[in-house]
Amino acid sequence: MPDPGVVTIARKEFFDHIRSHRFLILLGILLLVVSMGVLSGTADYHAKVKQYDSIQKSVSSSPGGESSLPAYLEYMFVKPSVLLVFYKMSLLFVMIGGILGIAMGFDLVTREKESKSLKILLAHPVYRDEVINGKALGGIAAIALALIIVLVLAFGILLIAGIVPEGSEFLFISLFALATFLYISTCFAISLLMSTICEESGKALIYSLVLFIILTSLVPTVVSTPLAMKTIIGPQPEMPQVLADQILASVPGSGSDASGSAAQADAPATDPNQDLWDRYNEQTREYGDRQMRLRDIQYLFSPAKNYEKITTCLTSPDMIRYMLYFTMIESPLQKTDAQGQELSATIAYMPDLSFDESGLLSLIAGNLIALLVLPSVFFGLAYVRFMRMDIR
Amino acid sequence: MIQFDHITKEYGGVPAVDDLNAEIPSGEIFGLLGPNGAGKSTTILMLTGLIEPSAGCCRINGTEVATNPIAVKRHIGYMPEDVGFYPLLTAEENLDYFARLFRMDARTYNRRIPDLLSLVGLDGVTKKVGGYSKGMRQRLGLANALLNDPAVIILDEPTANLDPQGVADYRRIISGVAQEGKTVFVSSHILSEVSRVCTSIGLLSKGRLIAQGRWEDLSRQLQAGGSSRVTIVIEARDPIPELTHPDLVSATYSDDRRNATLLARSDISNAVIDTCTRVGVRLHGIRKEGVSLEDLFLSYYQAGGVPDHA
Repeated sequence: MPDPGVVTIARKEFFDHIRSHRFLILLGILLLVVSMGVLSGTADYHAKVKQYDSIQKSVSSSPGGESSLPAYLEYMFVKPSVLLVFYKMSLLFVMIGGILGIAMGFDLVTREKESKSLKILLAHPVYRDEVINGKALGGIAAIALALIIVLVLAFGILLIAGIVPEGSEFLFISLFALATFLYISTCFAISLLMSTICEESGKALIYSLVLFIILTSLVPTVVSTPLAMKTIIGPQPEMPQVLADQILASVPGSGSDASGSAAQADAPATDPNQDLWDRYNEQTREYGDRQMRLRDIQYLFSPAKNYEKITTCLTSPDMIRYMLYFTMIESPLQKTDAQGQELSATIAYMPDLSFDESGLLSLIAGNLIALLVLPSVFFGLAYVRFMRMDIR
Repeated sequence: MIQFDHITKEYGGVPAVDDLNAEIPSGEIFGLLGPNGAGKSTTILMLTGLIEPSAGCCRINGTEVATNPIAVKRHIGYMPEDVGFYPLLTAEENLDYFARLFRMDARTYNRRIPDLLSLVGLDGVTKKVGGYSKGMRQRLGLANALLNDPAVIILDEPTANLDPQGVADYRRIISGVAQEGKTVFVSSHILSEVSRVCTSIGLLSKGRLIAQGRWEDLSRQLQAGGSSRVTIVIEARDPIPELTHPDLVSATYSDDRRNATLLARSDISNAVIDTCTRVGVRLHGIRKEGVSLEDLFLSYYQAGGVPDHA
């Protein structure tokens, strides 16, 4: 049972939040953009359903049916899900949800220092941990309330549009809501930490935004640089000269980039270099897998990237491999064209991922755990900092 | 009862409070007097459990503060210097929140809060605390310090922002609670304020308690020690140099150094005139004045103790 001190403080903080102009304005903006997102997503959903129906009709009437089309178009045969509507919402949440979380936490402690109420609060019979835990709980409860309002609105619009989610879609929508809640809570925890570190609210806001930007943009970018990639996952496999020559020979004029995969696909069954092709393709695939794993790991440190990956997997799984994993691996052919430009062969890498329910859940499990760990770490740091704070 | 048992607080190796040892019995109004930076607020922060002492301990009604801060906080009322509240809440809402932290039952605090607001003259004020003047916040601070009907009330510079009516109300309230047998601990740098309400005082200088006792006794000691003192006021046309004399206790100069007030053990006017003439300072005038109790306190702060004439 929670301590009454925590409950008293959490209740006060919760009502402070939901009565503040800041919260109401941000909630209003959130409701507005979510309405627009859901309406636009609903239109997209209807369009995709229509497209799906027409593809189904045309494919079923063509000789060979679905098997006559290339594998990379398989997503076109998946019936569109209601979750597609939530995809647009997630795009909006990345920015507005982050701002909401930061706006709710950056002055929770600094405001008490500025109004001199912290000293009088701590002079009452409450432990310091009750104060910081109460503040965190009050903020989290307000975030949960905002999300519930937003989801109720989204469901309302869906029902008005005649779209009713089915069975497993409810599970995915619940996970979507959980991920959104954890993401906003992470941003809230970042700003709460800064509020315990800084003496002034202005500084706490700036530092919160700086840390948010670093985690959202800088960390994934730094690890994605060619130098970092090469250092961490090793060099890209080199294409054997004989294969490069084969590609160059197959491209008339050799005036533009050649596609290795296309060249391989066009190679005759009795290709004398087949073993070399197989080995090179295997090495390239392993390299692509290493790149994918590295990208997955670096995303774990970024709240926004974790959230993007989870919500994209849940709401628009056909996009995930193109958005996150589809990579063009370029190999120089050691030859220049007439204009002196280096010629290269580009191989498209696509991981072998399963997009059924369990496959998707295993794909996002790490990110969900990361979104649990990240706010816990920031709350933990805020807790330690607050407990050690000098009250003078 | 409040007990300080050789309490010391250091910041970066520098003592803010140095080996403070005192005992304040129940029902007493104790004034801790000292200039800014003497260590008064640090003493109060240790007494309220907001900071821990570097050495020694303080006890309230026999309970050690540092090891049982929550138990102690249940029985004290505290008003910090420059008291602050939640600006978006009314006075009643602020007190309601703090009453819940005391775990008072709703019936008790619903009855007590209007009474306290009436006592400090804030009854009928419905605006949020953010719109309060400093004096109104101070009044609310006093109401908050009395909220849990504490046995010990600790007030840090309680009259700093009050108007004359507020000061009169404060004195009336403090005298009333002391008559109920509660201990009141007041910190101030205003001698006249302490002398009006406190039954005993302690003089704190550079973190050390240089004197403690009944107000009447201490003031008698000071007056006796001060009877042989003289204040010399100098007005000059040129900047007055740094004056030195074996009988000079303290010297205060104006910013342009054309005025100086000297506190001395004897009349050193002639020596001052000689010094000024020698260095070419043209004097406008020089006169002797009686010594105020404030000046005597100041001189003893600077000297580091009260003469033992009692």
